[in-house]
Amino acid sequence: MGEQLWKRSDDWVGSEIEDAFVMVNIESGKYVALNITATTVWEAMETPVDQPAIERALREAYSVSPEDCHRSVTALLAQMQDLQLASQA
Amino acid sequence: MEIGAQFGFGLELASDLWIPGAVAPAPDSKAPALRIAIAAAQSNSPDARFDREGEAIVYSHPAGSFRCHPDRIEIAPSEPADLEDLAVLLIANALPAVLWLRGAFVLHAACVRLPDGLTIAIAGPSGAGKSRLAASLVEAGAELIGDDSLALMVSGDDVLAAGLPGGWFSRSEEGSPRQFVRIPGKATSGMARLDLLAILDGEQLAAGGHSPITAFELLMQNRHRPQIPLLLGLQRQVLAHAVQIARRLPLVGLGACRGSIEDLAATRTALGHLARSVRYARPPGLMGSAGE
Repeated sequence: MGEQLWKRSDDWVGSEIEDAFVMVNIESGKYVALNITATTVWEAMETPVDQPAIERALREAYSVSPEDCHRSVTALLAQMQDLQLASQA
Repeated sequence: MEIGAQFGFGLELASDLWIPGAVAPAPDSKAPALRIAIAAAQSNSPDARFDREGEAIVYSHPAGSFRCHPDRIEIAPSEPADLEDLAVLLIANALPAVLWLRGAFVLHAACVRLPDGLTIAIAGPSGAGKSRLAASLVEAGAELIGDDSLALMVSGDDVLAAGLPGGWFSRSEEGSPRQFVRIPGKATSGMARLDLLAILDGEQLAAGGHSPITAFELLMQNRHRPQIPLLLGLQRQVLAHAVQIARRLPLVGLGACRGSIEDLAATRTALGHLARSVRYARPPGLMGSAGE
């Protein structure tokens, strides 16, 4: 059985500011500021994607060990799920 | 019934109602950009609420309902009409709705131009001391641009601000009713170029300069009547506007100001220093906070 796919919620619109990315939920008005790492993860989810592919995108962009990358991405995806930024397809 | 031309939020106003804080228009004033008319009395909603009706925003209140369009407000008072109540509801609710409808970013903030020309918007949570600080700065020679509600517009590299510059509501002591304090002889000053956004809240934001991303978050936190752009489906525009403003406007934290003479003096001094030495700091954490 393959990894579950992650997909972005369509309810958010975003804009770059400095080295971060800010987004507003068009339904609720909630807003969120992503740092550069979270922005890379968001960009990696342009189409539904599994967690290993997200981690590969992050490791290509930054010098980070596979273990640290896996830990960070797991925490970040959970945070994005809580904020309804992303969900498992 | 029309009271005559008034000026506020950078707009010529023709109103049936006295608008607390509006000032006399310039002698060469143009046709009014906003008409405020009192219609026939009616029975009104027992609850205060905003609704969207077509392209209009309707603010309902037991004292009256306000149908807000970009170029006009129609007020249907309850019987008997209390014009003072209606005026307060107009500036606190209906005028912010019109400003959002006209494409401004509406900030819950006071704004002053210091004697050296520096123009500062002062935002922060209710009770943080925005109005007290603004009043203290005006007593010390600053010019009031607005109190409570501020329309921000981006023009090229500048952020322009306008409010009701003719006075503010103040309490003589804790728990007493708010009274309007008029600034005598005040005439229009149009929109002011804003130099700095200052946040009065020691618990939330450390004193000193902060990054544009923090400025974005604080602009979003301090939107005035944020449910209005939500009702209008304007979240994309609000986001774009907040980003543009955050990129252009330095942000400083001022700590808390509880209104004592010592606090006000210290905050006034801090404003002077901070305004001249804005430094950016990176926000901490992996992901910024979500708001609303």
